Amino acid sequence: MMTRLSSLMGLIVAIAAGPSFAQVDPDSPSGNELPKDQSAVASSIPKIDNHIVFQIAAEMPQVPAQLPYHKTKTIEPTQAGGRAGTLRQAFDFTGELVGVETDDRGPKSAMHMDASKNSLEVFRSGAVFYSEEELISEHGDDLFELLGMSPAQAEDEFAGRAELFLAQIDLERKGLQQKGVSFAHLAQSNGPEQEEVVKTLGAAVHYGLEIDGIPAWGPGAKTTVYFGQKGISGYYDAMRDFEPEATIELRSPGRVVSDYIEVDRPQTLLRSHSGVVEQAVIEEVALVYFMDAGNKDQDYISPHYLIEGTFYGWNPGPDPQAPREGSTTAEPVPFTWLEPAHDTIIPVPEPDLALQLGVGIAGLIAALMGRRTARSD
Amino acid sequence: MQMTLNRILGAWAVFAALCVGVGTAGPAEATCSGRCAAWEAVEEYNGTNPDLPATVTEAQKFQSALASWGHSWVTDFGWADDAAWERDFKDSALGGTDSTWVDDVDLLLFAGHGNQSGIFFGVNQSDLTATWDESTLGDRDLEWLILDACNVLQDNATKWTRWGWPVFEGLHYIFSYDTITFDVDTRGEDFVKYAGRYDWRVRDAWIRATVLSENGTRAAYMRADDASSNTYEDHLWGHGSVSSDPDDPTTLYYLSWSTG
Repeated sequence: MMTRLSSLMGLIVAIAAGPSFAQVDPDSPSGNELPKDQSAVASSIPKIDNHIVFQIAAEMPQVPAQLPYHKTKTIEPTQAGGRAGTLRQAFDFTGELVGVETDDRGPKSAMHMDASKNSLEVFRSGAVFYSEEELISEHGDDLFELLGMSPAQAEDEFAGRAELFLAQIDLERKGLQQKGVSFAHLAQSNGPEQEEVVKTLGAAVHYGLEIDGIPAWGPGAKTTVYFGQKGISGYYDAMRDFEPEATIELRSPGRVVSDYIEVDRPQTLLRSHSGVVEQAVIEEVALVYFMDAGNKDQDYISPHYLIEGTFYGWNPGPDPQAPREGSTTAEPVPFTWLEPAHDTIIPVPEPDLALQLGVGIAGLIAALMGRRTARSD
Repeated sequence: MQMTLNRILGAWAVFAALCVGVGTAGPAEATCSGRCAAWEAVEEYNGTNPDLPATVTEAQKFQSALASWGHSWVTDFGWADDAAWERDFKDSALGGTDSTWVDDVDLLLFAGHGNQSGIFFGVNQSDLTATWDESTLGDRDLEWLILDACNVLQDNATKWTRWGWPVFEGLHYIFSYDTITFDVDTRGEDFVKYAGRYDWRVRDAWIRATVLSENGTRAAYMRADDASSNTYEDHLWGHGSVSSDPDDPTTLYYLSWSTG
């Protein structure tokens, strides 16, 4: 009986693991069953009693009383056409569907790949990412040497090539603006005492967006054209399509900054070590439209305030019970925070829904009136 | 027939429990061999740094992605907040326990604060900072280390003598950032998606994960090779070729790129 069960388990494990089960780390003795002794955790929590001093060194932006907010559109990522179809043509890409990622809202992304491992990924947001097998390679010659150009000349060269590419494929959108050119650098060290060798192996031309004259900000507010040794190695358009839904009243920037300060603890979107924050200097407050990452869902693109500045803090000393003793000054670090510039958005009903609702209400009124009429009869 | 079905279902349940036996914020460990992942994430810093709301969620999504797409990869442990400790990273020769934790798995994600010296924790066990000069990695097991924190791989003259030569002793890659990075919850999951589901090289998976989640920052990785290794071609175990360990590296490579 036990033998049968063992065989069954073995079979199940083998099936579950698939044909690549044998490929495991030969070094690995991993997997420990020792629990951590957490009895000393409480006494190791530093006793921090600290209040932040906020300083506002920023001029508050002049903002209108109202601005439009925009409802985003989504697409069915597995269907051909649209931007994905345009990219297929532009790159002569014939890859086939190799995977669909789904969640409770349906297909989230679809990956297509060809025999050369070039890929085209289409997201529900409408974002599209075409890439050669390697978006950025370590192999090849230095781009500046290859082109016989200085870095500044190469920037102009790639900026021009990207403009041409976007014009050719007709994927420029209203408000798209070239932000700059960056390079991918590979450094190599052949020993602690050896001088490093640096090569520039890739270039990227970056675009941002303005909506209603206001800059879009966030991981989804970008389009990038990537260049490698042989030309364009990739194209990522993270921007989703949207249309104005209604206008919304803006909170004043001063009020939003006051709310930020009132929290009385350091809030940042950045993972940079500041230590115990003693002082936060708000250096810039800007109005932006927030666009989330192209592989994430976002229902509305709406005005937000971007609050930026510097944290000044200290590093606790070794004794958790007296962390000020032996403490050191931490390097000042930037912080970034984002707050909606408006109260909660109440979705405007879809036209057909509004119509149905109207018909429903009219029907209800008619029915009630009918009942009254009947009663009065 | 019904008995057999019950046995199969029971066996599946045991197998599933072995695979998913990791707590999200507390002490729980699973048994794994050869394809072991782990994570440490700090959301609540007890005032020693600003809190980071997305870190633990990022780690949990990383774990779920491995369960979905990792082919028999197991998350060996996951330590969050007060359970994530500096000494888990510190070299055993220096009084740490890395050979029990961080260096006892193949792939590890850390999500929290960082700077060019190290990564930061919220409890003093036995320090708040895991620094490069106390970390020797890969001498037991670790191949790929994701330090999803700001500035760890800052591109300056000291990068080789910081997280480079002193740290790599069998370790293949450190994936991190040259500059600041944003507190987002998807990067670990995306890395696993491309490396696990689509069998991409680990380097390509990290490049894609950073480009998707960021804008305006610079991401980076450092990798090591010796005369017989080729870590450039590394895939996750079970998803393509994996280099032998560069136990005594002769060359380090550092690649950095803009995320937008």
